[in-house]
Amino acid sequence: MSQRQHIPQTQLALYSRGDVGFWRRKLVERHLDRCEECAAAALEFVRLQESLSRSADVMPAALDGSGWQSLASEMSANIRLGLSAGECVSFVERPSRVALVTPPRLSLALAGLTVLAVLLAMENPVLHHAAVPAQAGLSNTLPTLEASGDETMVSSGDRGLSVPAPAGSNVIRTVSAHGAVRSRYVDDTGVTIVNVYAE
Amino acid sequence: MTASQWVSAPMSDLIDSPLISQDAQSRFVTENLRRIFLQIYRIVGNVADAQDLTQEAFIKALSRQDQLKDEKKAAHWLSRIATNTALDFLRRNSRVSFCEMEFAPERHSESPEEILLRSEHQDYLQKGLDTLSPRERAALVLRDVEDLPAEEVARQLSCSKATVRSHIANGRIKFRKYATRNSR
Repeated sequence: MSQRQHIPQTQLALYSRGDVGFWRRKLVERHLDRCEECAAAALEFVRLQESLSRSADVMPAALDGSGWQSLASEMSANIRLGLSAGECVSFVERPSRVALVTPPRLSLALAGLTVLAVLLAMENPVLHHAAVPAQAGLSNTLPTLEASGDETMVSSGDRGLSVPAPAGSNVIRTVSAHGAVRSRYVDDTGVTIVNVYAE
Repeated sequence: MTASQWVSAPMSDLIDSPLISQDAQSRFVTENLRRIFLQIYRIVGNVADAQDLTQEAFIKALSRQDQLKDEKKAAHWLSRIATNTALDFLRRNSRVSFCEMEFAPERHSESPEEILLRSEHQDYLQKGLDTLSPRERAALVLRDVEDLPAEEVARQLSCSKATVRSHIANGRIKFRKYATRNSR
């Protein structure tokens, strides 16, 4: 590589932090010894990388002083909450095949069966009586609400959903008609408003 | 603290025990929180998103700890989850970052001039990083800020070493162009 034929920028950029192979490095070093322009460019890359490296542990200005401590406490509390919420929204497992069918699917299937039964009954009245017991399963899908000191639970058929809240705190519990449950309270540090939501 | 100084000891408590103790989780979070927050902040460029994504990364990591086979790699594994969480976020939102408008509280160890200079320098570096593509930025943050070897950066970004070298080179060239344009 001659002095006039400069080293490509990409190679200089990689060389400046040792990201090139042995032979390429030797080639670049030999050129830099004779070419001030490339040597200056390589030095500039090194300087910028050092500048970035020094910033590794520097907080943004907005988090100076107690700003970081307060943010860290809030994040830690939210991580704890996220983990416990993840555990509480897992499905209640029961050994029943009906549990594998979601309520909307069950309703649609029952509605379809009913329509089919009506249509068949118009041709064969005996089948009408056979379709009636299937509707008895509807009562299993009606949601029920249970609230204890540290938990609110909505269950429908063989499936359930619950959100926790510490006993003794001032908890606002909300349950929607669509089966969503929410607990809202201030945690024991008195800093974080905790909002658990499951649907 | 850079990646080369990471401590992975707390994760061993989590791996050995099927019943995860809250103490072990808290220690793991406390010892890695600042590093992961800063890593994500350098990639997304603002505090509010970095906060949400840091929380998300820790929850993902602690929920999937059974996937971790080698406890010595816990720090890199967490860092990889953080990088992917930040990149997914940028991909989903494909938006530019905005500047923080809050004012820094006063620090007694520094004069107002020093605080201003440091704040300006941070702002200057972050704006330089914002000129890169998300993958170039992630590669440059992991290699030049976190001091990870190129092989580990390639693993974290799930791409070949050649590709990651290309991201790093492009990132450094763009950053140098930015620095030349804005030389002070």
